[in-house]
Amino acid sequence: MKRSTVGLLVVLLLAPALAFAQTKAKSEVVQLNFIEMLTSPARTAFLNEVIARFEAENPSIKVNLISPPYEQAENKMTLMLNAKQPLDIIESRDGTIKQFVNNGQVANLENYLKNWSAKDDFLPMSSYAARVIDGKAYIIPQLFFVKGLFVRTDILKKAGIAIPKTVQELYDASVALTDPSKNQYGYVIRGKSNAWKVSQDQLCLANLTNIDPNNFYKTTDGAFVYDTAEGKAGLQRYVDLYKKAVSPDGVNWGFAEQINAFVSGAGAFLIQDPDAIAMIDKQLGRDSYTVVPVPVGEKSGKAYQDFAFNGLSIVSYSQHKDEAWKFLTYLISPKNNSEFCKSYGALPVFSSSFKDDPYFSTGVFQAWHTMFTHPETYKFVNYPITSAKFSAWGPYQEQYMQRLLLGQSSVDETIAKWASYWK
Amino acid sequence: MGHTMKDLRTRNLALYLVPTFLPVALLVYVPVVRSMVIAFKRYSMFDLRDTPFIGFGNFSDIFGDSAFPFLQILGNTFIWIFASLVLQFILGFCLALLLREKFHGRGIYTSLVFYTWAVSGFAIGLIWSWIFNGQFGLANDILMRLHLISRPVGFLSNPKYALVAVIVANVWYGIPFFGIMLLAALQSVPKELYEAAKIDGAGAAGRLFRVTIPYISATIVSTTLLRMMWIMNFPEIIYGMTNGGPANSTNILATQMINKIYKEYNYGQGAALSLIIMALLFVLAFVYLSIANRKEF
Repeated sequence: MKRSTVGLLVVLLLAPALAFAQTKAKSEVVQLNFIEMLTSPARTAFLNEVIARFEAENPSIKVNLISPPYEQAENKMTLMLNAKQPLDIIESRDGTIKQFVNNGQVANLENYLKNWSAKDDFLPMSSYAARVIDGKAYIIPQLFFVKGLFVRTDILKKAGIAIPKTVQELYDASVALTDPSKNQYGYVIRGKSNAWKVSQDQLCLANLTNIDPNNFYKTTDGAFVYDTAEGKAGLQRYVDLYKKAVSPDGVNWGFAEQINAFVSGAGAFLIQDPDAIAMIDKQLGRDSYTVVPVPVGEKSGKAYQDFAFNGLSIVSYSQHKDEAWKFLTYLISPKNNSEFCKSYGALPVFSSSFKDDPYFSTGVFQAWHTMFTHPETYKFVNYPITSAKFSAWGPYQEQYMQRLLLGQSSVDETIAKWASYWK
Repeated sequence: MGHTMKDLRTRNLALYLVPTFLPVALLVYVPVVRSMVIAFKRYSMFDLRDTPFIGFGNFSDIFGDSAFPFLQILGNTFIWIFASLVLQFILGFCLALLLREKFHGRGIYTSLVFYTWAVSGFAIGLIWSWIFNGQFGLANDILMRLHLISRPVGFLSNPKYALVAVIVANVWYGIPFFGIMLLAALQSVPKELYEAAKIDGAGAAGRLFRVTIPYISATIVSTTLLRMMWIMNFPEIIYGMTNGGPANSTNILATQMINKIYKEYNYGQGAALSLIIMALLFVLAFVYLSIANRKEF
């Protein structure tokens, strides 16, 4: 009995000490919860590799990667933030960061950013993107999506047609290539799911010379861009392009259908982001296609497009902001950022990536290198992403654009509806 | 001392029901009530600091939306429900009648047929969007080889055909449900009734309409009512094939609700649409059950 009593006393005395030791050990290790948004198997694998390296170099920090399926990721993240679930770093995109700022869910990173040496290596648009909301650094960009013109060089060579440099040349070449009896069309349209952002606005508005760089839908005089002579003519030409050089099925085409049409040769010209390259390479090979800068307006000599981006933010209620910043800057270091963008088919945010890594300055990526290094011709403008109306614009625009393409309304009616939305 | 056995039993019963009722209340009724409240507020994820009560503002925006005409969406919804329901029922019933007969490989064939029910609606939408693809789709290829058409048809890009195309996909998906439920009901019909009907001179059609259908009428009513509600709240196939387009021609109440929430982050209007759907389902169920209970099969 005495022995068992002594044994019990020893256990009772040791237990708190052990628990304290474990708690102390645990509290020395910081756990960061990081949710990604553009989930894909390749991307998640890459992130896990970077996390493993980071944790090896920083044993007191553990990173828990949350990878919801792509279609649900944004909603899951929104719900987790609204419910104040444990999160330290979120991945967000340009279209939704304003929402998180409005709701006080992301931290202002200016104090961290000013002391970060890599910021001096940012592309000019990277610095702009970081402060796109209220002029404060709520998001650190990690990749850009910028459009390029994908061209089926084999089809053009067979038809004896040169690669177009202007929108009018693109139109003429597309019409010349089109032969519906052979299921051959010139242009591969995006008919739904953010078609306005993919190529419609670019092609329709290329001949304007006074687009407000802070609002793609306004001229510097404050007019709605489509409510100008050039805008209206551009929209009419786009409708004509659909009627004369695009498969009628195109009005229902999303990303997958576009890639399929381009790869199968049903269309020779495609305007898309660099993430299309991996898919096209796999199915087609570089001998059959190339990428060139987007066509310029034949009257303006300029091309306008936005730069879509995505980045990382630190959650405002995170208890470990210093550690979160440490991981964030590790992931978005120039070296890791280049590797990350290669695995994902996006464009990196640092100038050195384009200067030092031939991957981003040669071959098909030369198109983007050209656009970044000729700002006098290739103008990057911004959509009004901070407007409360922006999130509903896509579905609204699509309805009227589809009606226009299907002949259910006119150019003037469509422009009037769009103008009334942005009033 | 004044407690009777009946009082004790009642109190115990109430206690036993609490573990069931509580989770249902928390997970079902509380969100429904919350959704009802949100339907009368301006509630956008864009700015959760500003969610004022706006009365019927969301409803009037929905009814007056020129980009997404409400009457067109309502019409699409009714066509989607009733065309899908009637065709699923008829074909599912035919399938059940066939599977009731014994033949070699019936078990394997039954499993293969019912497999579609296990597949996600969104995946089915994607498969059928490629089948109906206007350039490379199987549907066009078959029709052209049979010389029924000379050029490919844009099933999903032509507003005249898009709703038909999504209904075809939905019918294909829903046949197994009726097949399973009606097969089980058919197997419960006593053989003696058929023998008696034969003796009375009833042919195949007579036995079907005067013996089989009346006997399984309760199953028919319950399955068609359930299926009607599920079809109304089933946007996945449309979402995968057309996302409500082209030009609103396949947009139904459920897809519009999804788009309001997931594309526009407008939870106020999304909640209002869910209330409209709920009200319509109540009315449809009431009318349907009134007719079903009055009508003799």
